[in-house]
Amino acid sequence: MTPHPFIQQGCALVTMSTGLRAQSLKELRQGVSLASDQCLHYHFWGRLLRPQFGEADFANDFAAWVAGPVGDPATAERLNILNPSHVPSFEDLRRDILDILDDRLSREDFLSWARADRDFFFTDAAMIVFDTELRAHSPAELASLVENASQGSLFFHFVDARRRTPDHHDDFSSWLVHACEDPEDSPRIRALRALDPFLLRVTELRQRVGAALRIGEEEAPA
Amino acid sequence: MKTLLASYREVVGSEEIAVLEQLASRLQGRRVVHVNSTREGGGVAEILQRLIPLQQELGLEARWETVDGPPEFFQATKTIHNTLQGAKGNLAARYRDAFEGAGLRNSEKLKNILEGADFVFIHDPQPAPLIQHCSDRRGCWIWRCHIDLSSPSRTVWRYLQPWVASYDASIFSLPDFAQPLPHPVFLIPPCIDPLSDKNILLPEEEVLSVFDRFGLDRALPLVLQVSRFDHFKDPLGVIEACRIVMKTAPMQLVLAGGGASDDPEGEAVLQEVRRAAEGIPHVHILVLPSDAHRTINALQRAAAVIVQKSIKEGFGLTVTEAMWKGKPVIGGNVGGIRLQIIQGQTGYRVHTPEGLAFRLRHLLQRPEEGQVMGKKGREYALENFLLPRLVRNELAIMLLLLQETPHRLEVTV
Repeated sequence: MTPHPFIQQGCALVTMSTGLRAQSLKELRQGVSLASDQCLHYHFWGRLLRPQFGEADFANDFAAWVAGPVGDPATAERLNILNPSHVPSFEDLRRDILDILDDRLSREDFLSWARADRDFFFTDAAMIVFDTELRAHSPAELASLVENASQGSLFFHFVDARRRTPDHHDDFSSWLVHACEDPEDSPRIRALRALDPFLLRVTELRQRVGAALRIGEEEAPA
Repeated sequence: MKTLLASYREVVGSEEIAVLEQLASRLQGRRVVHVNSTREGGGVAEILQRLIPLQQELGLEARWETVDGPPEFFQATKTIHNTLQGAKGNLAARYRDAFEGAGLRNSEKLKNILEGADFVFIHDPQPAPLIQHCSDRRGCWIWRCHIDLSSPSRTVWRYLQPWVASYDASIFSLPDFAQPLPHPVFLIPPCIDPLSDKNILLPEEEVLSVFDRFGLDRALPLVLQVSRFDHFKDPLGVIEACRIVMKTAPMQLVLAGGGASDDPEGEAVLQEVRRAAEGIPHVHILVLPSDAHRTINALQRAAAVIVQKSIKEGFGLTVTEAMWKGKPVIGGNVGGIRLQIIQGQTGYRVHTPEGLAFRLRHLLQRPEEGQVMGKKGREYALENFLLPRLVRNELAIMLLLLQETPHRLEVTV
């Protein structure tokens, strides 16, 4: 038991229109160059807060649009492999998107357009953070909290934390290190920090974070 | 007596209600006024009927006002509504005069209330000009657009835009509908009220009673579209689709709708629909009063498949109602329906009467697939489109507007 409980928070997004839209790859390029970091963040990570039925074919909104309304599966595949967890900043991510689009546009034998009613809308989001009033006083309690956590709570503690905190770690491993005195190289800290939320569905993330938190549970004193 | 919040807690769970209470704790005693053009008929009025008491129970001083005017005012607002949703046409000078004159007269009636409010939500174009006449306003004014502005008549939008631009923020249902405006533009899908007569769980005998009451055949699967008699809802396309299906699969169609007090075109469309249905067996046109909510609820629960084949739609509340009742939904691939129906999961989106016929035939032959879709649809509606979610978003927007940068809001207990 620790005197510093883990405070579980939840979050929700209120989406906002940026006024930017694209009807072609060229306009998509222009929009990406003008969009805020928050907007890029939303189009890559926002899906984790949306309803998920079955396996998603596309990991970000740009790839989904280029594959669907624009009908350019090759460019969509190249956009789809981008992983915001693997780039140091959103500027780097923006540069990677623009490289792919520039490459395609420089080889363009015809302009790729979406239907007039299927534009890409660059969307921004305001994040509302609230207290779920749930607390954990031990890693086992935290595991239980996580296993029942909402999408928003997982998003806040595992995805938003990496952007929000100075050391870019998730809130769970940070709490274990600071409140429970787990060594930085303990198996459960390593297991938590090895998880890439971008590659997982919410149900999988919930399950894997819970499992990581339970590492070493049997050896822990009662 | 159970409070509204306690009733909603039973539907959406404690966490969602706790969030509402946390957000509202920062808005205690704030004066909030909602203004629209009718107290009955149409989705906006239905939502406001429950939103206001819920906001009051959360500690806000919420009230609801309506604007009124002569028949020419409603003719003008109908033209504005249609042309903003893409219909051809312009607003004649006499209608502009009626629209602006009503704005002035309504502002004289409402000025004190509106100028003293902390937040004013103006719903749709009808009351939009009120802001022009309330120069001493102390609060934030938010224009809430419920209609599809994705391809508006440019002339009519240019006419309306200067009023809208003078608001502090606006809310649209989808990014597709948002127009460039010089203030924060929020995106919130509309919601349904799970506790209303239209959506509450009904006893089975009440559901089944609709078959006898309206001369329906209990042995035939019921396909239902509930909507105003309006060309944008494509009732003729639905009749055509069912005519195709009936060649190979037994079914019955009910087109149920009513008038809204701000819709003068409904009667003409209704006559057209009646003519189209003449001679086709098992097609029933029901004109229901605007307060027939339990009847609509029962019809929806009695249906095998629910249709909303709109060719323009801001956001089809009937789609959400159908999903909440666990029904598969086939809708037009337009507007908010694209967000509501997840293709192949909660229903199907179609473009033509033939597309509707194909999907209807498929679902009527495989009712078990429809049940699986219905179950997913209910979960989807629960997570996204129920009234407490709308209240949460509106509270969040009010708080965001009180901050300097509307991008992050942390609410702690």
